[in-house]
Amino acid sequence: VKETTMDISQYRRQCQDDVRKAPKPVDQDLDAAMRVLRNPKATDKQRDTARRSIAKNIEQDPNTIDELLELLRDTDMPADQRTEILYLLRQLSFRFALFPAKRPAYLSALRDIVDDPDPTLRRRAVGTLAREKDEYIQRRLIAGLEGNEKALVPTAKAIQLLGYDVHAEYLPLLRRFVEDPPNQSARKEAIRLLAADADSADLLLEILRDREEKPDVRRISAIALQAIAPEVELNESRRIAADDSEPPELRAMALTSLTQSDTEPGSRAYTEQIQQLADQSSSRQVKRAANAFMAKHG
Amino acid sequence: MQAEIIVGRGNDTDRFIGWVPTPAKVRLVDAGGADEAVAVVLRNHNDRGGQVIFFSAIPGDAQEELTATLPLNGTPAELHISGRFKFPSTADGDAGIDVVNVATGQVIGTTPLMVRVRKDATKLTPAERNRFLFALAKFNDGGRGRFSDFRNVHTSAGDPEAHSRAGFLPWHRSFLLDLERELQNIDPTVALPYWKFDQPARKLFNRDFIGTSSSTGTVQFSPTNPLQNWATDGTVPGIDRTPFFNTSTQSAFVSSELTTLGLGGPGKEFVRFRAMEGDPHGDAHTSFSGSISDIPTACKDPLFFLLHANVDRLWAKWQWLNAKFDLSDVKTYTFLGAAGDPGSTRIGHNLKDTMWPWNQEDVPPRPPTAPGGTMALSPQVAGPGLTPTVGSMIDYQGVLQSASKLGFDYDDVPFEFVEQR
Repeated sequence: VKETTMDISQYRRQCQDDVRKAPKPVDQDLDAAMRVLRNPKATDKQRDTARRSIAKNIEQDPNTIDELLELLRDTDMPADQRTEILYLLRQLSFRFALFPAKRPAYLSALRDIVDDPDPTLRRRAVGTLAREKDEYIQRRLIAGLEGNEKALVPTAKAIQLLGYDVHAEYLPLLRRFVEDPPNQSARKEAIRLLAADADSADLLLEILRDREEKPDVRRISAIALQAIAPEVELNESRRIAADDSEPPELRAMALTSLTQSDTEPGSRAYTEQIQQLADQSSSRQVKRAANAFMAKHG
Repeated sequence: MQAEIIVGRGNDTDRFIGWVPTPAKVRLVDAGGADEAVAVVLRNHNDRGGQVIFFSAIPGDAQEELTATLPLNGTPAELHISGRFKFPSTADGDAGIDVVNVATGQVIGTTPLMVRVRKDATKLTPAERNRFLFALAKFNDGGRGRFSDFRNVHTSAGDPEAHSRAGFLPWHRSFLLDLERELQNIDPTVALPYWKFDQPARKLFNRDFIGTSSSTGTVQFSPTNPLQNWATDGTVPGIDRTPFFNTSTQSAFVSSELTTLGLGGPGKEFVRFRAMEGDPHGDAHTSFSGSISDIPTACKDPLFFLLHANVDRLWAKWQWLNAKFDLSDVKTYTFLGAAGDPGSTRIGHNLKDTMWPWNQEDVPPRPPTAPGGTMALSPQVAGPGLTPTVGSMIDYQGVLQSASKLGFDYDDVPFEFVEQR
């Protein structure tokens, strides 16, 4: 009768013992930790300890942030160490009550390094600014995509980052990348962003219906189409799900889309056809999606 | 002969139980010609799936089976039940109670139950995972659904309400609870899973669950994953996330769970424990690039909720290990009064303060809008009400005040009566 209670007491004692034996977090004086960060000869382990200590003790001297921003801009410092400082600043943004007050200075420092020769540093700075819907970085990304200046990040990444804040004036450029892309990755990102353009419904439907297109490209078109013309996408999903000549990946997606939808599943003959897929399809994905459909609509 | 078991108030959703004892009654509804009170045993309906334990008195010892004598006039015998720790359900109705007539050995009543707790995401069955994903996708509805309110709360404007001060943990507990209740309105069998970020999580970071990253960082999903059309902030679908670690073989760049649980120091003080807002919480966020790595955009990524469920679990586990539920103890929470009291901190971070946005306050120093309305109510528990306070998030299991319970549990954090510690 007492066994269950005893189990929990024992479990608690075991947990408490384990916690007592666990390693304690590293800790180092803030000044000493900053000296390590500035020291080009410091080992990786020393730098890791310093970074963790600064993150932990930043409230002792909030102006340390300004010092970190200076180091971030310091092109004499090796790029990997500056990348580490950028990482530390991001960590601080999640724990330091005064960080919102320092945010404008942080973003300003990021703008200063977006042309840095190091691609990792550049990409991370550009990414953060794009997420902030920073107009400066949006202009720079567009200028790079239009070929008016050297691109800050690869084309596909630039298009993806514009997705954080799609403006109407980007749309012709996006359509151009769909028609004439530098690579497939960029094209897929451009198709995805056309979800922000109601006028692109026909183009997206055309891609979705085009059997010459790869299934993953057709899938992205379907997702984008669903955002601007959900009824059109649902009708197309109904057709694809029941069409044995369509690729399994696309049929599974169409069935999942129909399962998520609140609209009527279709005629009895249609649901019987989907039941057959659930019973007999040779594709595991189609079978799984058909079963989910039947669980909801059957 | 027939007996009836009534769990809670007898509502349909009262069949969902966790580790916290819930009142129940058993009574005869058909005496079947018996001429004296009937002795019965209550026991688990199944020996697999969710398991139930019984309490004849509260507080009291848990029992594997419970005997009771049922009067012929239908007067109920009262008891409490809970899920048996470490034996949660995986499906609705896989747990249950049988009422067995001691004299004949016949089962004279059965009630199906579900032991519903928040679980490690890597331990979910495919069916549990799919139910969660469908509910989440439905709530988001391709960016057109109510999820947008949650997205619009966790922004730069809401940052001071939720971060960098003592209220970080209570505020996010409330945020998770609000979302979980919304998901349970769609599918009551769903509980929020958590991402144990100090362990590799291959079963979470795959195309069937939370997705994998392409070379651009756009997350890829399998064609059967309902998150494939996930969209926020308007209509552009897609999630931007790239891990800096190998999700299959490495943990995020965070301290271990045991180190985190030791953060309160020898005095077991909340003021020290709350350093976990940086490591592991912040460091879990910054173990990625993409929207999850910045506060204003973190909530665009559904991984946010699994990450925070783990943060909340760590707090819950620390509370259980150190019995930190007493609202009058400064070691349980740092600021016991209300904003404006001597020694208080920013409004929204003191024990007696209400929390934004659920309080719907939109005048400074609160943010200018309060998206999403009040807290979603539970059909099973009264707590925390429409406008939660910081303090209402502390005794989430009702360890000290039964009325405080919030209706959730974690798979590895049990319920214990204070008297039995």
